[in-house]
Amino acid sequence: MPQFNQFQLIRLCILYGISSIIAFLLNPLFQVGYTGWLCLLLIYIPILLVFYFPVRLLQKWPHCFLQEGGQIVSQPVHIFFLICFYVHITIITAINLILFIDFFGNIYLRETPFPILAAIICLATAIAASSGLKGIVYMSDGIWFLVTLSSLIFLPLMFKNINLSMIAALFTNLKLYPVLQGMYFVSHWFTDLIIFLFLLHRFKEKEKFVRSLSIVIGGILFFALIYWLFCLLLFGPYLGRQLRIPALELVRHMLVGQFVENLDPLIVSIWSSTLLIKLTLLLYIGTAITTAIIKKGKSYRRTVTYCYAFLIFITAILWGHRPIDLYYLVPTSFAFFFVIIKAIPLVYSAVYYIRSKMSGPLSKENM
Amino acid sequence: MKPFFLILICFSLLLLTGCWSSIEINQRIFVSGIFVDLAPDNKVELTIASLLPNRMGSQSLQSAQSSEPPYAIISKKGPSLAIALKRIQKEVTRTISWGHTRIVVIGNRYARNGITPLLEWMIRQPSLHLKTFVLIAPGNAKEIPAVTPVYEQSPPEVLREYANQHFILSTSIREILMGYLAGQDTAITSLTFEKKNMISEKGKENIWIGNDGAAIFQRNRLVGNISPLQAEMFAWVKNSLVNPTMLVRYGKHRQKIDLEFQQTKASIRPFLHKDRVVFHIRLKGVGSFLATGTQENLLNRKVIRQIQKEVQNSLRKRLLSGLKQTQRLEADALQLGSYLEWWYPDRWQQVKPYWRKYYREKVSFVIEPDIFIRHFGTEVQSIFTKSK
Repeated sequence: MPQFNQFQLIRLCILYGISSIIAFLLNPLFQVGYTGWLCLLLIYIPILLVFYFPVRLLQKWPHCFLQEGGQIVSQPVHIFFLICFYVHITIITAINLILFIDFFGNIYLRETPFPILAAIICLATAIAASSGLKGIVYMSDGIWFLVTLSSLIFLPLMFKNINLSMIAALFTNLKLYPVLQGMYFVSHWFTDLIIFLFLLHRFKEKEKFVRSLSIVIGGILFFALIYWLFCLLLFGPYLGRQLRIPALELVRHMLVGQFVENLDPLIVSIWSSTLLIKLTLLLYIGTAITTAIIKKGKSYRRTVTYCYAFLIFITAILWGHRPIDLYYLVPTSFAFFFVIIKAIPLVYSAVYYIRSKMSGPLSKENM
Repeated sequence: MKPFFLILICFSLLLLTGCWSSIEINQRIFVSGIFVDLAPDNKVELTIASLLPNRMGSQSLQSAQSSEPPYAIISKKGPSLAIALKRIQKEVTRTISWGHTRIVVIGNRYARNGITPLLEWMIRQPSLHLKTFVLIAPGNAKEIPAVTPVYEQSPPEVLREYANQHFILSTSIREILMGYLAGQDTAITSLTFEKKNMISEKGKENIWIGNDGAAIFQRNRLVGNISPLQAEMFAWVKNSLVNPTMLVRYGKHRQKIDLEFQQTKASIRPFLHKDRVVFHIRLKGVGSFLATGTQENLLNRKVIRQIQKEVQNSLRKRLLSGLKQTQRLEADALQLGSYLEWWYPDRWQQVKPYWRKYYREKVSFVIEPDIFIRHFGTEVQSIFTKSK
């Protein structure tokens, strides 16, 4: 039964989207120099198109995509795709967990062993995920307020430090190859959003899905653009790509009347809660996919959630010991895999379109 | 099942208190300043200064005669900065914390040898802020802690406030790194020591810190200097100068006029002229009379225009002489190459491999001071006009 409204969907999606982008994924955007803003603007339409067709499909087809997607592409193919989604979600959850622990471990919790941090975060997110989507959505509503408020208050404090002369470079340094390179990289940010296709049936007013989708993609790109631009004008592209977390240094340059200088723990704690929401949601969806694959009902959900959290914990421990392997895999094999994942919902849309053209609008009866 | 989960949640709360990595505040040394030198045996000598909270309270309660300074200075040598730091850490009873470090002073010899290892070490430290100011000592940086902190509690605080006020050229680690990584150079304020008999210290001879212009760095090595007035102009161009003052001479008898500038700003725009690059530097500011020795009528529009012209010529000369000095040293200390990259990226790509040579030979400057005298103080006419 639909429970949540479209504003809750928008807030949840934007928070989910920006949490890791601002913290971990801004750095590679400096590789394309001053063209980052154009990459962020130009990617809007392609990403919207990638999501448009599956969302339109879910508007027409009122069933749970996860449970009954097999009616479109046949059950074995649907199970295969679900396994792909499952692997994808496991990978991104583990990567986000490792990056989160790396950041915290390096700066604030140097003495705490990696497995302890991983275990605590997995346990906390598993408890939140097992409470269901309602808890996650309400949690994101509260944190959305904190994130927008902190951005509105703290970003203007940066104006004193940034070099506005650099803005000229945004228009003079435009070259096709870096723009395409940047767009390819930015497109990966949105692979994660595919998980919302499994949740849309939980939201009311499905006729507004496309409008909400366009707001979500625009909102994520807007937040990314603002933080990227501030980082660029403060550090330039060369120092920007040298810093692992440019947004952290950005926060450290904020100064309230030469009095409050160390604001970073405050901002980082707000941002950390967005990442915890992301991890919780990933865990929730991973659990839902698992129950769909093994065809177990809701009664098993809690057990599966903890088992899945344990799997994430083990994956993070294994990769966390060899971060170099991970740094190699993310831009190569994983990036290629993520491109395939982005195409899967389009396969559903294409098959649905072809089959409905051949035999009229699909329903449970004529499938 | 429910009690089990409740116990689990309560247990996790115990783990989430952060006690695992906790270091109590009284187990930390909050380093306020770092001083780096190259010892005669070519080892790195690292000196750290930190406040002693246990003495800070007693200082305010006791009389000013207290002989115990509220700060500690620890120094160690090592083959690298990290090793020298480790040696300091081994000998102190508390854990070193960089979160409050706001000043780095580099010894002259270390600066001439190259500061790249220091920058590399600093950018890797997770808790060291890139906004930390950098200054250059005239000799050894470790002599700075001998300075008498008259208005502040410790020498690093003196230096931090010195840089924070923006009366001098304030250069941060971020700016040095930005220049270096972009293939350009930097200018950093150099200090001077002076021995003075100070009344506040019961007439004892103490070391006083002053400004000795700026040290010019090329490829992170100190290669030369500019004067305090030239360094002040560089700070103006970098938009980091607050209320500079100036003395100009005006009229037939070259009488003195003291001015202060507010709302100082600068803008830079490069222009291409065949194979040359011309940087147009526009200096903006609002002038106020502080004192005038002239007998002229300062409410006369013509007189004010002539004074403004004198001021503009003087500013132009100062800045140009500083820039010419950087050209002689082949050091793009104001990071003008970045402006070329921002406006003409193709030309920048062409000249980037030999930018410093190009900067020396093919770069020229047009300096356009845009100064208006707007504030006349509370006096209508100079009292010197009465003796006319």
